[in-house]
Order: sequence, then structure tokens, then C-alpha cells
Amino acid sequence: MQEIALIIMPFVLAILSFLKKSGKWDRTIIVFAAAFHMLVTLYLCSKTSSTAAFLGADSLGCLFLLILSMLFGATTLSSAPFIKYTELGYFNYRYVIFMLLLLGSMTGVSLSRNLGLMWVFAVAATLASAPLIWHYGDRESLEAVWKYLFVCSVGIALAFVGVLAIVEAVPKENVGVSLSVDILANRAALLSPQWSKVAIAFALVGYAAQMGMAPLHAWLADVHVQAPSPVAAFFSGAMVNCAFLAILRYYQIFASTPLITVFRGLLFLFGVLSIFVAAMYIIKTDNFKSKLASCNIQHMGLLTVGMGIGGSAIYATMLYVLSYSLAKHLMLLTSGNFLRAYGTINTSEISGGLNSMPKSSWLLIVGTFALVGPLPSGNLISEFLLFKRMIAYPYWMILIMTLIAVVTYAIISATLHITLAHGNASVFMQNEESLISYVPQWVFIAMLIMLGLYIPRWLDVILKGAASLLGGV
Amino acid sequence: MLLGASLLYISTTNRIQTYVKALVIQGCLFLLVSLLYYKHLGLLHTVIISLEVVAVKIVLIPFFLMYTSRKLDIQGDGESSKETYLSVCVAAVVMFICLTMAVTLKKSGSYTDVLSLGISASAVFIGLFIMTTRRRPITHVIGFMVLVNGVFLASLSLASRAAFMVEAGMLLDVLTGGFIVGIFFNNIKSCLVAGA
Repeated sequence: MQEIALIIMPFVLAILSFLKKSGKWDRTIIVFAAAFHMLVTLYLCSKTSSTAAFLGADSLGCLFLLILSMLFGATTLSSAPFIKYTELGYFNYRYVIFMLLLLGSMTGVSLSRNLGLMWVFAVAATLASAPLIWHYGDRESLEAVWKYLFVCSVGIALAFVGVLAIVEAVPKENVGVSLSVDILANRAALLSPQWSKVAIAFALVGYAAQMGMAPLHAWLADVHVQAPSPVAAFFSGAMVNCAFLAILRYYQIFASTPLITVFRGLLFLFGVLSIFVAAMYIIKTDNFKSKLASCNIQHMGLLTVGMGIGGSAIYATMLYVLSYSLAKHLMLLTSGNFLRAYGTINTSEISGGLNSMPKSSWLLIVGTFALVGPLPSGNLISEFLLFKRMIAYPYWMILIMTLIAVVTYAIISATLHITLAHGNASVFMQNEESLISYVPQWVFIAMLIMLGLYIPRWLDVILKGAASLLGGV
Repeated sequence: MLLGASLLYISTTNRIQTYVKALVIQGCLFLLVSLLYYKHLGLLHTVIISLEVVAVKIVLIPFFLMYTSRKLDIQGDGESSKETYLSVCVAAVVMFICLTMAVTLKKSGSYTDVLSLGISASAVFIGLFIMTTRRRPITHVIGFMVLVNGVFLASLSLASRAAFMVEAGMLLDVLTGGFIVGIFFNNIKSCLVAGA
């Protein structure tokens, strides 16, 4: 019941936002949605359901729901300027409506325990997110949304073939086909191995396109650059996680079968390729948001490498999903502060940020160190746990560590250039550092450091529960 | 078999009008297949699916594609005859590989008949091929339509086991509609003409 309420409420609020005559209530509506979502999520996480045919919050779903809820809360606060502009009539559509539709769809993906239903929510999320990327309505954002819709739609279509292949894989004796993840996981040994391989391949490629993994990452950088910063931040943290969850649901089905070795092999290869592409791309690009997009690709790569290794790396991967989502989100929000102030986010065009925007600059420096590791945080701990498990594959470990070092160097040097370098500073357009533009990020940094020093018992239970569902220890 | 022939027909062309004609033919064939699957689908599902096929695949999408190409004055994709010849060869090879794979999968216990399976897989891969090799975004949309038609055929073939999957597959048409309406209303001529 709570699950249905959690999905339906954003849709109802979106309709309410659409029907009202003035934009005055938008802020109240979105804040109410964020508070409601967080409260119900915490309630669901306190009593995870073991089995469900369609909707239910198991440990895995709870983890992703919790991330979604936290990110939406921070996005809501950072969205204030966009809602204000909408109220003033700058934009010809409603920012809040599509944010709420996106929230509802992604909540559906997180709570779905049925492959078909999850796919339907993934389609809804793709459709709801497109107008948000096209927020500014200019040519560049139109091209970005075109690219995004195109690549993701192909991914969605291929993921649907994955669902069809699962239907084919169910033995002939079972007349009624259930796409429930729990039922399929229990009967995984009975599934046809050939069709299961087809399902794994198509689902992986399909959802990898939505995750922005190489070689289907073309849309990710454009979306990061063209979408408003809160949307890009929400996208980078929540949307790609939803696609990752979809892959994990397939992983959960096959976790106890011999086919999991094939699945792990594919995940590992996809992961290494993504990390490689991220390391190459980050050197070429000058735009800071594009660099963060590369970090995102590297992050997704490391996540799939973690799942590809399996065993104790799965727990580390779950912790990494949580901590990295917070870190990426805070970095994209902070880069939005610089974009608003300087009118550009090209690294070479911004310098001396520490003098002009000290609060955001300190935030960017600390955030970068939390993002890439040196600061004791959830990221550092989860990466340490991942590499500890990766010692069994020394050559791969050296290769991956080298590539991650390239990404780390590129992002740190860009941050230091923006904040500390003295050069031909660009025209400073406005000096506006409102409380709302940096408080959510500091809260996230505090949470990241806390995750590095102490993981609360209730969170540890969720992380271990999620890892155990995926065959981890 | 007729769907397979229409896939080869699509590969032979580089004119938008011919692409759209081929899509309409495919839509009509899907209507026929949906009616033939009446026993498996039941009355309600058959009516819904047939209406969707007529409205979206036969009328709306081809109309919008033609209207957009005329409005933006896009006649074709500008391929040379050599490239077209290569496309047909690739489509034939893809079809052969897909049918061979379908035979292998059938042996491992598949419900779908070899022809449906092979043709739907061919449509998916030929659609991907069109998307990756053609220059203009409008042809990319047509390639995506071919891919979606392949997925639709695959879901129809499984109608006896999971009729709801056919309706879920129809959501892909909504996505395609989103593309085309996007072009139609936003008039992204610069992107479409430049083949960005």
C-alpha cells in the first residue's frame, strides 16, 4: 500500500501542479513531495518486504530508494531558482511537473519486483526526463535531448528484447509466465540457458545505454552540460542508478546459477571499457561538467567491475553506489554555482574562484577530494574494499588503478585551476552565494565523511541485505 | 516471409518516401498477424492491438514522417548506389545469421517458430544497421521504427504465453511518436538537414 502511495503521490502532485493557475504553489508542492517521499522511504526501509509479485521494497530496492529520496531532497532545495524563473514566465513549461513525473517513474523502477513493470517505469522515466534536459529550449539543449532520447530509446528497445527472452526462457510446463524477480530467482535453475544468455546480453546492453556506459555513453556528457545543474545532478545520481538497479535485478535472478559467470564476465568487460573511455575522454575535454560526466562513466565502470568480481566486492559496490551518488550530486550542484556566476564552466576560462566565490570554491575542493578518494569518506572505504578483493586479478587491478589515477589527476587539476589559479579571469557576472546554493552540498559531505568513519547499523543491514540478494557475502 | 521481404526492400532504398511506404506495408502486415493471433490474444487484446497498429503504425507515424520530410524538404539520405548495394548485402547476411541462430535456439526449446524469431531478430539488427550507417536523423528515426517493428513481432510471437507483453511493447511506439512529434513541433531543421 505504501509502495503504491509512494509512486502515485508524485503523479498526483504533478497533475495538481499542471492544473493550478499560477506558479505560486510550485515550491510548496515540490517540497511536500520531497518530504513525503523521504518519510515513506524511511518507513519502507524500516520494514523491508521479503517477497512481492509486483511492487515491494526489499533491501536492494530500499538502498536505491534511499539514494533517490536523498538526491531529490537536495535537488528540491537547489531548484529554487528554476522554480522562480518559471513563476516569472521565463520558461514555457513547468519544471516542477516533469521533476515530479521523473520522481514517480524512478520510484517505480526502485520498487518494481517485476521485470515487465520495471521496464514500463524505465520508459516513463525516459519520457519524463526529456523535457527537463531541454529546459533552456536552445539549439544545443535540443540536440542533447535528441541524442539522449535516441540512444536511450534504442537501449529501452533492446532491454525489452531481454524481457521477451526471459519469457522464452521459462520452461514449457509453466503455462502462466510470471516476470516476478523473486519467482524467477527461485526457479532460475529451470530457465533455458540459451535464452537466459540472450536475456542477459540484451538487458545488459539495453540498460547500459541508460546508464551511460561505454560505448553507449555519447549522450551523457551533453546532458551534463546542457541540462540545468540540479537536473544534471539528479540525473547523474539517480537516473543512472535506476538503470544499474535494472541490471542488478537480472543479476539477482541468475546469482545462484552457473550463468552468473557469463554475466560477471560481461559486466567486468563493460566496466573496464567504461573506465578506459572515461580516462581518455576526461583529458580531451575542457568543460568541467563534461569532466564530471567522465567521472560518472568511470564510476559506472567501477560499479560493474565490482559486480563482475562478485563475492565480497558486492558489498563494497553497494556502499560505492550510495557514497558516489552523493559525491557526484554535490559536485554537479556546486559546478552550477560557478556556471551561474561566470556564465561558463570551461575550466580554462575560470580562475581565482577562491577570491570571488570562497564558499563554493571550498566546497568544490572538499567535494573533489571526497569524490575521487583522498578524503576519508564512503568512497575511499568502498574503493579500498573493491581493490582489496581485486588483488586476485593483479594485472586488471594495475590497469584499472592507472586509469582511475588519470581521471583523479584530471579532476583535481581542473578544480585547482578553477579555485586557485591566477590568470586571465573571465568576466564575473554576479556574486551570488545564497545559503541554499551550498548548504545541501555540505550536508552531503558530512554524510560522506560519516560513511567513511562509521556506517550506522540500520544502513549496514540494508547494504548487507542488498549484497546477500545478489549472492554476495 | 513478407515481413522479411519488406526488410530487404527497406535496405534497397535511400528515399524517405520509399522508407515510409515500407513502414506502412509492415504496419499492414502486423495488423494481419495480430488478427491471426486472435486465438492466443483474446478479443479485448486483439481489438486494442489492432487499433494501435492502425492508428500509430499505419496512419500517424508514416503521416508525420512524410509531412516532416516534405516540410523540411528532405528527399533522401544521399547514399550512393554502391552504398545501397552494400546495405542489401549486409541485410541479407544479417537475415541469414538470424535465421540460423533461430534454428539453434528452437532446438534448445523455444515457443516461437523459427521464421518469426529469425525475422524479428533480423528487423532488430537491420534497424540498428540503418541507424548507424545513415546520415540524417530522420532516417535514424526510420531505423528505430524498423527495430521497434522487430521487437513488436517478437512480442506478438509470444502472445500465447504473455499477451500483456504485446501491449507493453506498444509503449515503444509511444517513444517513437515522441521523437517524431519532437521534430514536428520543434522544427529542428538545422539538426535534420545537417545530419548532425
